[in-house]
Amino acid sequence: MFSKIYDWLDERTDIRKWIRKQLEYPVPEHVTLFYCFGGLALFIIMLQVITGVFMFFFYVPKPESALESIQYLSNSVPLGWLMRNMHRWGATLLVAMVFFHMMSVIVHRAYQKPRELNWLSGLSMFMIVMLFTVTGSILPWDWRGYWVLVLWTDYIGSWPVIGEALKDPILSAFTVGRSFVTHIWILPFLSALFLFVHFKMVRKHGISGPL
Amino acid sequence: MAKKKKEKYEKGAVPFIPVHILKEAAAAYIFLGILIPLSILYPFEAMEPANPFVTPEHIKPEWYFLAAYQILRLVPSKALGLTVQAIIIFAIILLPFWDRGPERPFRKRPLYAAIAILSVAAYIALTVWGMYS
Amino acid sequence: MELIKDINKKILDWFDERYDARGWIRENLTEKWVHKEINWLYCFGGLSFLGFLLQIGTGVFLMMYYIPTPKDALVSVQNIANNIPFGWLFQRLHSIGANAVNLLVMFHMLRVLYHGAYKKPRELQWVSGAFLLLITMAMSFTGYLLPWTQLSYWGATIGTEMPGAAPIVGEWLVHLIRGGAQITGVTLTRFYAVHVVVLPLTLVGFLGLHFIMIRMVGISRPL
Repeated sequence: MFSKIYDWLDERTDIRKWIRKQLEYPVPEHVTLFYCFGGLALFIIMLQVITGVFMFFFYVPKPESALESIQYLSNSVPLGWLMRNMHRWGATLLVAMVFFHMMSVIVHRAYQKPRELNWLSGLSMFMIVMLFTVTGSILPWDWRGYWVLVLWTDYIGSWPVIGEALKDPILSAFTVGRSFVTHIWILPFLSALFLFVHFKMVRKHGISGPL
Repeated sequence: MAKKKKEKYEKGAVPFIPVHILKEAAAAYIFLGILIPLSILYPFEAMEPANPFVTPEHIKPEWYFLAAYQILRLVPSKALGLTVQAIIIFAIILLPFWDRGPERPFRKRPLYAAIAILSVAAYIALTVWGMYS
Repeated sequence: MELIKDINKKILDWFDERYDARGWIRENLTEKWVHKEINWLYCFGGLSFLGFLLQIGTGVFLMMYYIPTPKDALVSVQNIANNIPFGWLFQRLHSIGANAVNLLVMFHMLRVLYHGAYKKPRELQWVSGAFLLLITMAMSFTGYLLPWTQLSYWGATIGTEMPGAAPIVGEWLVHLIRGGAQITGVTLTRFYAVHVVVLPLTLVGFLGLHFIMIRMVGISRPL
């Protein structure tokens, strides 16, 4: 019975070949715990998606009500406090994992030919994670969120040459709503693209050789 | 199922790009050419804010739900109407599993052609009926 | 000319070593074959996809200004339509485009029905397509409540009453969808989240399956 269904599926989707490819994917013998950080980062990203979608059900992207809605989420919604804290600590952990992942790549010199594009896509994702943390911590629009915005725009303003030209447009274009859209739609979309390329190339070149 | 080579197409093949993509682009051009003028010609109207204490007299769903709504109104019992809807939805989802004949042309499968034409006609009729009742 | 060709070849070689660029180009651009007799009816699938992309583009724009509370929803929509530059256009494109997407998906289905293209080996194609239709309709339904007008409020009230007639789980379902006994602000944020994150994600999943399978089996032959 089961094998019949499997055959039927295989005829239409080539699923057998696909499953075999995943199950029999070889990794070199020298892979140690230090190679786990990329996978851990992916795991935390999935957690962030789940907790983020949960919080989306209660968040109001309006300066006057944002903090109120977040407080309602953590005080009155069942498990809301857990989801919020998981999202927040998950963000911190994600930055740490991405950092460790980069460290291990640097130590193993895994960015060398033919993996340059992997390194570049990874760096882009590091930037995206940074933007995630900035836009995300602005969202509650409390004391901390406000000063995160001030600090970051000041920092951007201090960049040589382009800083001054960037700071004012960013500040004048800023609204909580825009920060929100960036956080939940634009950045996830970009990171999905980069993740796809990243994984595709890891698959193509395999895991880098031993030291 | 492996990807088809060019020689495997019975009556010859054309490259997807540019032959089909050009058709697709022309169709997209026409589609946008209809949609954008429509958006300009029917501007945003002032709307009445929601009032939970006043039920409006004529309440109708969007046109694509009208047929389903009309079924609910025609069938006396709510549970029965819901069952009818569920049966229709499952019939649509599982269509390839009850229409198993190998023939594809419309003329060579009269029974299914009749069912298909009748259901489309019924959908349109119910929608129009819902609009004017 | 020679120089350009040389540079072109070098760039392609560099990417080939890292990403299999030539294979990708061959598979997706230069050597992707379809039946010779393919005609205009085959455009509806691509058009519905275009409509969906348009909905995403305009939707992301609307999201920047929309506020999902009963007090502010209609005010923010009116703000979009009256004060934001080009807001009226995006708002109209989004709400009229929703009708267009429903229509195009139906036409696409009729085309498949007429050609009998759902038969072996494309059964799953049809099943995923039927789910895509249901998701499109659910998107329209949840989106309709968001402006929080009299029409949308009562439309949603009647729509969410329907599952109440189901035996045993009916009451519970209505309660789950509404987040309470009545349609309130809780329902609004709930519908907003479903409209903006949950359904689009599901839709993208089914679209992925739909496209991957069509790439595997190829477009059906016209009659």
